[in-house]
Amino acid sequence: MKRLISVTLGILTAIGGFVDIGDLVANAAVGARFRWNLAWVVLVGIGGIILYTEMAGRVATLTKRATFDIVRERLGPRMALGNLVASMAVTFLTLIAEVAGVALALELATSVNYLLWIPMAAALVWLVIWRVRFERMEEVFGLLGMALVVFAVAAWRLVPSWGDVVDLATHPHVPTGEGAPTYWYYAIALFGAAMTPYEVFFFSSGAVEEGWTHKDLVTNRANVFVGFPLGGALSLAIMSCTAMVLAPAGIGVDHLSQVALPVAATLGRLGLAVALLGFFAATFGAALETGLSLGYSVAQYFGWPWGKRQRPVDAARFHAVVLVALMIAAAVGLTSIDPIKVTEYSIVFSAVALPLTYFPILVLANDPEYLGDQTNGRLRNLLATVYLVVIVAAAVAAIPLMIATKGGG
Amino acid sequence: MTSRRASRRTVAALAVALTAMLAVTSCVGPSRTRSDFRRKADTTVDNVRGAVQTAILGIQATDRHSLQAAYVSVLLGDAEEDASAAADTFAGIQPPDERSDRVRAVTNELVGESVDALADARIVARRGDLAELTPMLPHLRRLARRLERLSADLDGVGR
Repeated sequence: MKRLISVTLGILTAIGGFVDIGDLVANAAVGARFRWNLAWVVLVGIGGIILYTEMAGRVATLTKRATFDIVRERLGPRMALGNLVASMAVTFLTLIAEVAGVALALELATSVNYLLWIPMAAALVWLVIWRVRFERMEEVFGLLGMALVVFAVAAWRLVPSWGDVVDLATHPHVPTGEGAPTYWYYAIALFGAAMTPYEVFFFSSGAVEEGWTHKDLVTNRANVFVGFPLGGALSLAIMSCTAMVLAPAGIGVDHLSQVALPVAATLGRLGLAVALLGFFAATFGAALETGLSLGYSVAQYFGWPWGKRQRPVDAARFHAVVLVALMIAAAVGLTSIDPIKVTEYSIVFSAVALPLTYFPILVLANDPEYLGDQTNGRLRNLLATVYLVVIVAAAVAAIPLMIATKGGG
Repeated sequence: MTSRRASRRTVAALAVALTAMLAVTSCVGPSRTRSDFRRKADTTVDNVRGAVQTAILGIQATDRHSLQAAYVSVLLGDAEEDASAAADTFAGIQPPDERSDRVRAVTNELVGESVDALADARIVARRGDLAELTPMLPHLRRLARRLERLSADLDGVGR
């Protein structure tokens, strides 16, 4: 039972990482526009995030220090600063989108304009970070986020033949009427969304927060091998729902309300209510993750005390960073900037920042000074290197494709 | 001091580049050719058709499943917002020649009619009179068909 509960860290990370506001809209938009022709990207993303998060978790478990902390020591303050700036910029953009995402989910349930919910959403996120224990936080939101399984139920009802879907997904092509640059732009966006840097920082810091030891290496693996495939499956379910309902009607996805429409049309009131609960939990969980990741990154870089396991008075600067970040995120959200657009940009910029996040992790995972005899084996290194090449290619292509396709338009 | 100045210059250059990039990806340029104008008209019609179809699906689901009024009003409000934004963007594009004026007039008329229909649906939903939405379906479906025909017309002719 203890092991089962400990897997909730992986589930929360996966829900927040795989189905945050960006993924909800991106997977739905891709399903509505490309149907299953980009499903392979989700699978590639799952593989990458499992590989690198397991490494980051292993480093944290064996050294009892979070990834960022060690990156600074091992690779020098300059490399770590580059890493910090890049990941902070992307994570902060994502935090803005997630706080707005919580507000959007509340708007769907109440019809009260989302702008009015933003201050409350930010305050609630801060309150949970401030007062709720780490384990309780991950249990509650990890499990509530499972409400998104309603998309899998709807997809099961909608898809007449899963054999045909598998056939379509395994023979991807650029659909008629779409250009190759647009196809690859969305592929990079989905990939960036699956491998956002804050997932790794949150997971490794969470391992330290939970006091994982050598005995918890199995827990580390259970978390990533259960949590992320679950998140990926939910992403594919969302994609399938819009592929079956919105694509035939020629509907593009630009709002969270449209993401819920296939579930509402298939499962009715109850399905819609569960989907909205899932939206709230996923975006709230992601807001917690991104808020904490910002605090973790800054505190670990500067060597400040950090974490929820410390008394707030002992980690005042860590909590101050989280508080200020949430206040600024709420303020930006209140300018009525389109949160979906913010999310789209954060996903693409995330793809650009990926090499700075994942290369140091690969270096650390091969350093016997930190990991003893638990460094990467040959196969893992081979896979990780292949992924690093893909990550660099995505990073290089992201901005040019964004310009060439006018943001996928 | 010199390196600090250089760093500040680098940050400023990056900020300018970032702003320019975001502007390039967001803005709609003018139309210099007839075919480009028709393409923009076609995109507008497609976007509005998507919004109308969203409303149709939403109303059908409400009729079948008695969906929550809060959700329906937000869904229809979002659809109206999308259609209205597409219409406004197209209205601001300068037609390149007099032949394109006809395209502009036909597109604006149908798109305007669609925006009005979506606004009517949104008003009804916000008032909580969900039962009044179902009678709007035939009109919305006719609009969707007309938008589809116009899109096919713009897509296929006069490049």
